[in-house]
Amino acid sequence: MRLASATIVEHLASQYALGQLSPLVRRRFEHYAKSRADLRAAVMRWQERLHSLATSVPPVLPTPKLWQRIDAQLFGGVEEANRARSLRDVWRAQWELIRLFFSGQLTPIKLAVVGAIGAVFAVLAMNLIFVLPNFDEIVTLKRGVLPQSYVGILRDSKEAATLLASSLRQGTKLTVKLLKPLPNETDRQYRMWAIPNDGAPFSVGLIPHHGTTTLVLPAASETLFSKVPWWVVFAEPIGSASAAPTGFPVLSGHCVKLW
Amino acid sequence: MTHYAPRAELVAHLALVARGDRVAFARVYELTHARLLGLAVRMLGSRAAAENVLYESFVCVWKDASDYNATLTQPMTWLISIVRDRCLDVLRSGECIPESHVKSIAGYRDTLTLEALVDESCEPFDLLAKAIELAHMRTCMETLDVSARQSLALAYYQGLSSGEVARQLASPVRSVRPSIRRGLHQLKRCIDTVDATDRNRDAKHSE
Repeated sequence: MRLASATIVEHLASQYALGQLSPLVRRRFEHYAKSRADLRAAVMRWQERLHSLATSVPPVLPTPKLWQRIDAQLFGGVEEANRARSLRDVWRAQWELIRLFFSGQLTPIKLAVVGAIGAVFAVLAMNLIFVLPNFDEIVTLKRGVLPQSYVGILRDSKEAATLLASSLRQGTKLTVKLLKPLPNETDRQYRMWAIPNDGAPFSVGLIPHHGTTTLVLPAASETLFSKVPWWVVFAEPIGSASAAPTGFPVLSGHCVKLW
Repeated sequence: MTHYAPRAELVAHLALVARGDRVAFARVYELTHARLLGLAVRMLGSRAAAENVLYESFVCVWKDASDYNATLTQPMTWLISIVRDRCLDVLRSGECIPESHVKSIAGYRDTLTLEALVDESCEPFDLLAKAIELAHMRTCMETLDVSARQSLALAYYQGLSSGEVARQLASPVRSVRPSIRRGLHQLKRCIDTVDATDRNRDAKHSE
């Protein structure tokens, strides 16, 4: 396949995006595109143009089974298998106990001792999990302030933890600490957005490219973030005050309620 | 594109899907599945086949979300490309015979001959007309000749190859191929002109 001329690239990219290449030529084109940024860019431009034609196609709702299939394929299969495996392990352990008991290796007295030790450990574990306050709570209660309410560690595209955000319970401030600096670009600013489960993203505020800052929230953190599972930082054009995120995401992470 | 899910929300969710976030993945599905299934049904002419394509496409979205680059392409364009590529694979492999397409095209070819194809109320052409309207491209697309418009509509909305378009239009392939090329060229000029006008208008507003 000769792909030297810009005209040929443009022609093939348009034919590819429309689906006019034969399966064989299509595959060869895809093979070349892997190593040619100009081919990929030309295809994307054509896809952008052509897919504006899709706006007129009426939407069709799938059957609920479709999502169940996707969910089962990607997540459910593993979970089901894990559940089955752990159930199998429990049965195996039970069977082993019964076998030992009837074989005489495990006498009723030994069984009672093992059971008593197990019960003591279970009570201790319950106390640790549900009754005793955790370490953070002990520290903050000693200091006389409430513990953190919402926290998040936002990561960059290479999965490096880059930003730590936290607010106190019922607090109206969000402390943002850059764990490593973001690129300092003169034509960009960084804005943190809250992405609710159901609804439009809203701006949390502008953040610096390094250091620590405190963002003043318009309401208590519970009011703002109770339905927000994610925070995302967008690099947007400098001076932008858009009601929706612009630019591109640079950091993202879960917004987690701690208590 | 107001007819689609909000761009920024989708971009943010796709960034999270790339990190393996299942809730964000469910949200991407929720925001886009009806549009994407509409397109797949339109291309394959079968709801069952279209659902299969959507299933495979979303499995692919989960696995390849890290390939999505928000600086290069719109999220909906990326998703449509995945669905459309899969539909084309199905059509070219002959896994799915879009009966409804054959019937509809054959229907107006047999009963109304060539004049019927000029009638823009026929489905693929109607869709193209609506898309042109939505994208404010009417003025420049009106200059496009009928055969180019027909060829483009059949190729995009029904995923037909140039040979199949030629058969459907009862025209020789040697005239259909240039038609498609003309259609694409005209579409490019239209969209690029509309985009440039939008950019100028936005710049004036921001001044």
